[in-house]
Amino acid sequence: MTRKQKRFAIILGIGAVLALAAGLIFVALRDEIVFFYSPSEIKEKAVAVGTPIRLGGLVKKDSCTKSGETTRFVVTDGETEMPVSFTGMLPDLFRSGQGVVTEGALDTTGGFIASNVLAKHDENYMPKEVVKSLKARGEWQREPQAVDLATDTCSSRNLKTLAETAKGG
Amino acid sequence: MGIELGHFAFSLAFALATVSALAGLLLWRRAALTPYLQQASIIQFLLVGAAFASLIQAFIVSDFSLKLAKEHSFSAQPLLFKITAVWGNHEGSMVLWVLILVIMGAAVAAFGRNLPRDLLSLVLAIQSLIAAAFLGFTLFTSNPFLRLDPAPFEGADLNPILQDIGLAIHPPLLYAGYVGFSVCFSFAAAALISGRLDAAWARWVRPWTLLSWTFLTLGIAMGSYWAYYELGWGGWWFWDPVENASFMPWLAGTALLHSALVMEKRSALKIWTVFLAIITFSLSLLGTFMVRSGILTSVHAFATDPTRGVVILILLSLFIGGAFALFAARVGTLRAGGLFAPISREGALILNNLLLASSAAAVLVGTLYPLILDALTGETISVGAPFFNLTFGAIMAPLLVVLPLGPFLSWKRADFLGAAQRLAWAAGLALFFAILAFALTGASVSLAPLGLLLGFWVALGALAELADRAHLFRTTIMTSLRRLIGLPKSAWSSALAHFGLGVSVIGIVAATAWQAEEITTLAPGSSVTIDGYTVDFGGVTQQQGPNYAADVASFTITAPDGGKRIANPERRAYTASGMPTTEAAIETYGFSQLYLQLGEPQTDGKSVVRIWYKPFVTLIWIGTLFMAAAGFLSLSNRRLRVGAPRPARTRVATE
Amino acid sequence: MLTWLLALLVTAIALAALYFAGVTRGVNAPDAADEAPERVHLRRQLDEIDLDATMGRLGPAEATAAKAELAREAIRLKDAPSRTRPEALRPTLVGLGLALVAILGFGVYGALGRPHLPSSPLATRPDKSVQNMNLDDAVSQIEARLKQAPDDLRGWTVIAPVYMQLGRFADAEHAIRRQIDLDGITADRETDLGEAIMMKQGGDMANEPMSLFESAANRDPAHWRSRYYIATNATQKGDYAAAVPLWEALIALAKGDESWLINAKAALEFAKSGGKPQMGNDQIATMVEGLSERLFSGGGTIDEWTRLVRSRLVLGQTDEAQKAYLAARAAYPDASVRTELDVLAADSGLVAQ
Repeated sequence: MTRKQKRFAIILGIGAVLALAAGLIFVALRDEIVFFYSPSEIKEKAVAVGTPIRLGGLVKKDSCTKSGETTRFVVTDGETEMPVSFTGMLPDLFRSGQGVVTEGALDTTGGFIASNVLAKHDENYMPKEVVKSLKARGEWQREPQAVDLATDTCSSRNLKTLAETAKGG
Repeated sequence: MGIELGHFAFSLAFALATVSALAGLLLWRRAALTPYLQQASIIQFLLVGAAFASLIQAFIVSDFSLKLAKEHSFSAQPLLFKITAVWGNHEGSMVLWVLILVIMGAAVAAFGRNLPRDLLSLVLAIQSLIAAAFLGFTLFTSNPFLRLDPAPFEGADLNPILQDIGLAIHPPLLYAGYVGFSVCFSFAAAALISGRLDAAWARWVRPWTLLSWTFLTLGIAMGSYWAYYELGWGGWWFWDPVENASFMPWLAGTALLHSALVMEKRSALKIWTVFLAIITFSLSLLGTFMVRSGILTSVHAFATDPTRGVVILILLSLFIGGAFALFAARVGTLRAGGLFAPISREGALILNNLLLASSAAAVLVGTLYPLILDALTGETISVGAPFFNLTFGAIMAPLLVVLPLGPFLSWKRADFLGAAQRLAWAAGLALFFAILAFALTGASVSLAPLGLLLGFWVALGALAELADRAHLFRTTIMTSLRRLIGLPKSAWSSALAHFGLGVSVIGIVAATAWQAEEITTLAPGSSVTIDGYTVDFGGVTQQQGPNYAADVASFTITAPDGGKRIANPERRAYTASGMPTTEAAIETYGFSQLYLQLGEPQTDGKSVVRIWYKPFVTLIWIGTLFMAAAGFLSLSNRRLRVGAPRPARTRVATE
Repeated sequence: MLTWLLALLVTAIALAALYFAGVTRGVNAPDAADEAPERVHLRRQLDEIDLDATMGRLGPAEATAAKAELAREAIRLKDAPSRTRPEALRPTLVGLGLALVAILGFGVYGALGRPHLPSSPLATRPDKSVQNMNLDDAVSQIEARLKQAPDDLRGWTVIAPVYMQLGRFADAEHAIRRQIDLDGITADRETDLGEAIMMKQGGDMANEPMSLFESAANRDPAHWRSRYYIATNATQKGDYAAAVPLWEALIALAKGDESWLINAKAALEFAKSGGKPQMGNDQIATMVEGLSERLFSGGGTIDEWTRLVRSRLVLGQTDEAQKAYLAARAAYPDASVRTELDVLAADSGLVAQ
């Protein structure tokens, strides 16, 4: 190969690899992103059953019922409520009035089956997306509402006693 | 007293860095300036070191007149966590960041005595400029030395998640990696200003790349293991923005490591190498910005503050913008390097760089896309693991396929078929292992056996290179052994690093494809079986820690071979903050792990329990240890020693 | 002052080190070494080409080509003009730089630092000692601290009940007045102040204490402590007609598990009956014994302990009260939760050890 041909072959190869990579990224961006909705947006946009989405809002006060490993609770944005069912372990800081983001999809009954409940390990944390959607609905309060852990059905039971022991002792 | 003196030392370091940067940039042609700049770099290090020590001292004695200690420490905290609490927050971690920055600057000053004067002056000047920017940022927007008068009586405790040995190890390593690339950046900018952009430059910059890359590898691996056992979700990588922030510089740095090799040996890829040196540090800064600003939702970002993020963004754009402006101005003056054919070591390394750069771009796009879309359309989306697994996986797979071939190819023009032939046995063996694993796990159709095949191929390919260089089976065993020992360290280190990558790939594939998970409710005395391991639940007791109260569960694990072990996962509530955490119990069997997490107790005395069996999961981190060991081995190579080679005369004298 | 002196010292050392670094090594160093690193690099490269060729990583023809490329590089390097200028830096320039460092350093620190603020590690702080119950040391440490920082609200708040306990009522009065000056008046502080003055007057509620209690009761309609004193005062004076509605109002404030409730009810009965105890002392004693047994065997809340001590005192069983007080202190070592109990004990002459 001449000098020019060598250079041409190399540049062609580079171009092909880059084009493939760019194509891959674009295709993946189209197919693999997950939209974030508040309960009201799910209603407005008529999200199809089974589409993977993220649902965010506040855990409605005392809306939790637990049976074994499954927890049912209600996510609200102040206007619309969405019943959520989740099997697995809730994050440590899960409780009434707390901002929450769940991953999952709608089921045929209009409820939401969560495969994952996200929460950060910080008590003051409110997911950015939730803040945004709550602000849009005028439901945003900077200070999270005080929740009495002793009566809250949503926070895990032993942590209440633990918190009491920790504070009292 | 100590704190105030530390504050002064920090201020003086800022002054010194500012003046050094100015003097160096204005007077770099004057050879007489260099010793001043060298000394100034070392003094900057001593001053920042003293400031850092004063903070540690204040935390150890619980001096709550220091605002930082009041906010992030607690008198009953164990000593180790009092010390690590210094950098478990925004302000303190900036001091650590700056400290490592000036350590790097001092190291360049100390080891770079034989660099050309003008280049050394410029490198130190730019290093001082970065130091001045971040010293100033720390002093004026996030001052860790602020005081409270009168001093409060008790502190607010360190975030319980951070009360872990991981905080002692992970951030210093990660920062050493991030910040180390500042030296590469300074070298790149210095080369662009002075016009000394030749193969020798690549030789000087490569040890610094290697050093930073090694620390970053360790830092990311330790961070991943920390998240794995501390966050209690059983995952070791989440494609979370904060993780991506550290992973992008790693990918770019890996590319830089390889392209600098081409530049050093063959004078080729000059423009690209300089570009990568700038990009790598820019990605480090971008990572710092993303972690600090909280603009992206992350599971493990701590110490965020949006207002300061803006300042970092400005610094970021100034440094990156300045570097690229220089780059654009100088790029035309660079001469082309050595010639090579498409099939050659150079060609293979270009492919390596292309794929690494593409994967870094994919991660960057995936990380920033939600921000961009939010800004443009107001739509909130998340780009999660599926996107990254698909794009990153698809780009990495061909890289892994061609990786073992690279070291077998000759420079300039290579015999592809010859290289392939010499790798045939490695390929056969890898295929055999993969099929074996496929058959043993029930021959289900999935990508896993292919992934395993790639992992074995890379690991065995690395061994094949060593065997080939030692002429194994082509001569007597003794001769081969002698040849093996006599191999240059560079051969050993590249084989070791590639072997480590293969091991990590095997671990990732095995732990992802064959993990077993069980979430169940157990009554005391009952048991559950997962992948041959029987887990007996003994019940929950309450215990009091130094600064927390805990529910501690007792499990007895019976392994398939009959061995018994006790595991105690906990749920804690911390006294000062009242914050709850979950402490998983992890039992290691060979390379595999059993991961137990205690969930909520039910009203009837039962407890929710989550158990994972993760086969070969530790290989993920063991592989990274191989890579880091390869980095250190390569650094110990005299021919590559940090800084410039010594003139022959002194070499003789010291040996 | 010391901070400034040390800062000056640090600056002087740093600048001297900087100055001599340039003077001793720099100026006269041979410039010939300047281009050497690149030549060394070329020599290394040549060695590596040979090594690669012997290891089979570079073909013979390619090795020759690579050497030719290297040779061209060497020639170009030889012809390249020297980039550095050899002349020394003018001393004035060096001095200017050093001065700039000092000015900038002191300027920044002067603007941000607090050189006169001493360190205060926990070990040298009074609070630590209070927790360790070494009362005398604690008091003297807090006092020393308060002399330095007379505006430390927390210090005054901590020390006031301690003074009460030690019987230093005039000091307690001063401490509470400081709290009120620093942080404003509250019903609690008014009552504390009233208690301190009352104790100073030998237990006499007349004049200032009474007006303070009344002011506190007006300030906070749910404030039981001040009302308790007002009702007690009326009962003690024999003004049962006034006492009955006062006790009734007080009992109406109770949730039902307060430690003082049992006494208030007894006092109400007493006032209603016009001065004759209706519930026999026997009955009360039985109740108290029951409570005591329960607390000593199974423990209880600090309020229950306080109720027990108060009841023992009402019944005149000072020794038993002392025992109960010590047991309560052992059960609740943290002084901050048992303020009420400590004040009660101090009022009644019980001792801490």
